Amino acid sequence: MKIIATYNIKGGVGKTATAVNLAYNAAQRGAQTLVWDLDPQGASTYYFRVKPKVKGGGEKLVRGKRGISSRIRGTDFDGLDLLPADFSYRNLDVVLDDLKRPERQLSRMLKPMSKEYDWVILDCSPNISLISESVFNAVDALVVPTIPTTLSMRTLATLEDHLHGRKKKPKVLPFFSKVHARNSVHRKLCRPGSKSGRYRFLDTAIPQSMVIEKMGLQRAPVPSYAPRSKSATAYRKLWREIEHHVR
Amino acid sequence: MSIAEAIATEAPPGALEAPQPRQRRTSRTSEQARYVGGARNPSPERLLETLRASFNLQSSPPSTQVETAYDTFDGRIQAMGWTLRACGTAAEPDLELREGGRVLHREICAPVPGMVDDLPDGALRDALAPVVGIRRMLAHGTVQSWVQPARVLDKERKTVVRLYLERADAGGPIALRICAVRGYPKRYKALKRFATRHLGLTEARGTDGLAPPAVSIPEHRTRKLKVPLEPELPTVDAMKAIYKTLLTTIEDNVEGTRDDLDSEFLHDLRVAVRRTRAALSQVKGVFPSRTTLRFKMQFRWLGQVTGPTRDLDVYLLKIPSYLESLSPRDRAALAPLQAYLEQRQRAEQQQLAAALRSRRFADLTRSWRAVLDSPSPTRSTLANATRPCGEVASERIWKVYRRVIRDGRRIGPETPATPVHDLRLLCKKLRYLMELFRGLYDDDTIAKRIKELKRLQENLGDFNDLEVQQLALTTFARDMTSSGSAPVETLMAMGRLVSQLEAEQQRVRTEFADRFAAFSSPTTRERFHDLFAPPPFPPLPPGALS
Repeated sequence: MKIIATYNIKGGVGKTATAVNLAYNAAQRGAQTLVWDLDPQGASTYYFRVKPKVKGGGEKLVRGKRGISSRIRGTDFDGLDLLPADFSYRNLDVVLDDLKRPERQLSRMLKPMSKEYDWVILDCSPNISLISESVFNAVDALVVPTIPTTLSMRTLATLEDHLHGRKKKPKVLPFFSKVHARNSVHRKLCRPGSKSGRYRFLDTAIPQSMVIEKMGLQRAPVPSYAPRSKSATAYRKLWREIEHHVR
Repeated sequence: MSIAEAIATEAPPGALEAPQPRQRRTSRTSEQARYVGGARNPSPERLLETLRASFNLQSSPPSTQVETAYDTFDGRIQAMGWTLRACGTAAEPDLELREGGRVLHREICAPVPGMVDDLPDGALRDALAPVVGIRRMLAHGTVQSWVQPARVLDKERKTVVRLYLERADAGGPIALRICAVRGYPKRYKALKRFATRHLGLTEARGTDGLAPPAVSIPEHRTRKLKVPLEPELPTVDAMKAIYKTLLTTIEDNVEGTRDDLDSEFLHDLRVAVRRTRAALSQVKGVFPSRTTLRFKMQFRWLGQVTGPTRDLDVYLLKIPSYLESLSPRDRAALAPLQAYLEQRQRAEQQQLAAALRSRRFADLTRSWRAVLDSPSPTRSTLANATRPCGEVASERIWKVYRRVIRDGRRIGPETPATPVHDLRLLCKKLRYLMELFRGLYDDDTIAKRIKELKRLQENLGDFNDLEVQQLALTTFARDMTSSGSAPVETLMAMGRLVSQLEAEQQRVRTEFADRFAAFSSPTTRERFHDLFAPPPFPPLPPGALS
C-alpha cells in the first residue's frame, strides 16, 4: 500500500481537484484506491456526492476502537472509495494533542487498510499543524500543487526548511498547478526541469481550466465527464509520473 | 532481457528500485450477487421498468463488448486461473487481467503488445512478467458479451448500488448482477430483496447461467508423439498414420513460424521434420523407393531451410547464461555479440518465411498428404509394407539397440571424438524409432526405457553441443571482425566463454563412462530385451529333426 497526500500551506492551489483526479486515474488502472478527506471544509467529499458526516465525528474516529473501516464509503466509481470529511475535523489537532505520539496516529489508523487498498490519497487542509505532522510521518510522498508565482515558490522553500532535519522525510513532489498559458510570470517560472531548493518539479503541469472548475457543478472527477479534455490528459500524465516516482 | 538491463549493477540516478511483485488485495470492497430468471426469461426493458418504479434509477445504454483473449502458446495465464482480455475499441484497447469475474489490473495500450516487456510500466506488467516470461502472448479468439449498466441513486444523485444486466450473447438468458457500494449496506439488501420478491429472479449459485467458459486455449501443446497403433496393423498403414500426425504438426506450426511469433513454433516444426526424416531413413521398404527418395530430399531441404534461424534462436536464448558465467566487466563487452545475433536472426527469419510461402513448400505438403491419404495395397512386393508393424518396429529398434551397446562398449577415456559422435547419432536413431512407435507398447514401460536412453543421450548430446558452441563462437568472432563490429573487449570476452565451454566439455566426457555403464547394465539390458527382442524360435514339433 502506498500513501500520498496533496499538501500545501496555501489554500486554493488545487489540492482537492488533484486528489480527486489522481485517485480516479489510479482506480481506472485497476488499483484499489482510498481518498481520505482531511479538510473540515469537505471539498472532495462534496465532489464525490457523499454526505460530510462521520459517525461519532473526528474524535470517535481517532480514539475509537473500531478504526476507519466502517466509515468508508464507495464512490460512484469502481475501485475508488472515500473516507469522508466531517466538520468536527476542525478539532482534530486538539484530539491528537491529548494522545501519546500524536504524529503516529494517522499511520496507525491507516495500517489495517494495507490489505484492502493499493493507494491511499490524503486530501489535506491548508495549514501546518499536528495533523500535518501526522501526515508527513504517514506518507510515502507529498504531492505539492504550486501556482507558478514567486510567493508560491517561497512557500515551498518554507516547507523544505520545515522538513529539513527530520528523521523520516517524505518524498516531496511539487508540480505546477493552475498554470495560465498567457501569464508571463507563470511562463517564466513553469519551465521543464524547474527546481526549488532540493526539489525538482514534476514534468507535468496542470493548466488553469474551466473544465476543472466545473467539477463543483458536475460533482465528479474530470475524466468521468470530460474524458478527452486537455485537463483529463494532464491528470492522467501526472498520475503516471507520480506512480513512477512512488512505486 | 537486453544485455544493458542484465548488466545494470547500479541504478541510474533518480531511478526506482525494482518493482516488487504485486500482492493481491485479499478483500474486495464490494459484495455482489447474481440473479437469474430461471424458467421465465424477462426482457431487460421489463426489468428496468419495474426497477424504475421503485427506485431512483439511472441506466446507461447497452453495449456489446467484443473481447479478445490472450495467452501464451502453452496457456500459462490460464494455468494461474486468470484471463487476459482486450476490450474496448481498437484505438483504445483496455487490457484487463481478470480472475473469475474480478478485474485485477487494467492497462490501456495500443496496439496490444505480444511481449511482456512491451507493456507499459505498471502493476499489470509486474503481475504478468513472472508468469509469462519470454513467451509471446497470442490472441486466442474472441468472446462477445452484452451488458447494460444501471445505477440506483440517492438524493444527492450519488450511486448507492450498481447494477449490471448481462447476457452471454444476443437472445441468451439475462442475468442481473447487483453490486454493493461500500458504506450503503441497507440499499444493497433492499435491491436483493426486490430482485427475489418483485422481479421473480433467483440468486444464482456458482456458475449458473454464467457466460460460457473463457475461450479455451488449445490443449497444452506437447511434443510427445501420440499415435495409437495396433501391433497387427500393416506397417504401411502404421507409417501413414505416424506421418500424417507429423504432417499436421508441421502445418499447425507454419503460421507461428512464418510470423516469428515465438521461437517454440519453429522448434516444434523442426522436431516434426526431423522425426519424418528419421522414419523415412529407418523404416524402409514401406513406400516405393522412388517415393521415399523424393520425400527424403524434400524434407532434407525443409530441414536445411529452417536450420539457420533455429540455431540463431538457440544462441539468443543462451545469451543470459553466457552473461551469468562471465565477470561483470566482460558482460558489458558482450553487447555487440547480441546485436550481431539479432541482426543475423532477422535476416535468416526473412528467408525462412519466404521459403514457407514458396510453391515448393506448398507442393511438398500437398503431395505428401496425397501419398498418405492414398489407399494401401493389400499385397505388395515391398519388403515391409504388409508385415505387421509390431514386428517391424521391434526388429528395427532391437537392431539399433544392439549396435548402440556394441559400439558404446568400444569407447574408452582415450577414444578420439569421432566414434563418440557416431554413437551419438546412433542413439538419436534409436530414440526416434522408440518415439515413433511408442503407441505399440505399454505407455509406462516405454516411457521408462526412453528415459533410460535419454540419460545416455544427454551426455553425448551435451558433449557435441559444447563443441558446436565453441566452433560457432569462433565463427561469429571471425564474421564480426571482418564486418568491423567487434571491439577487442568483446572478442576477449567471447574467448573466455570458449575456454569455459572447453573445460565443461572435458568434464562431460569423463562422465560418459558412468552413463554408459548405467545404460548397459544387465538390468537395463534385460528390460530392453523384454520389450524389443524378437521371440525365440518356436519349439520344433516332435520328430521335425529326424
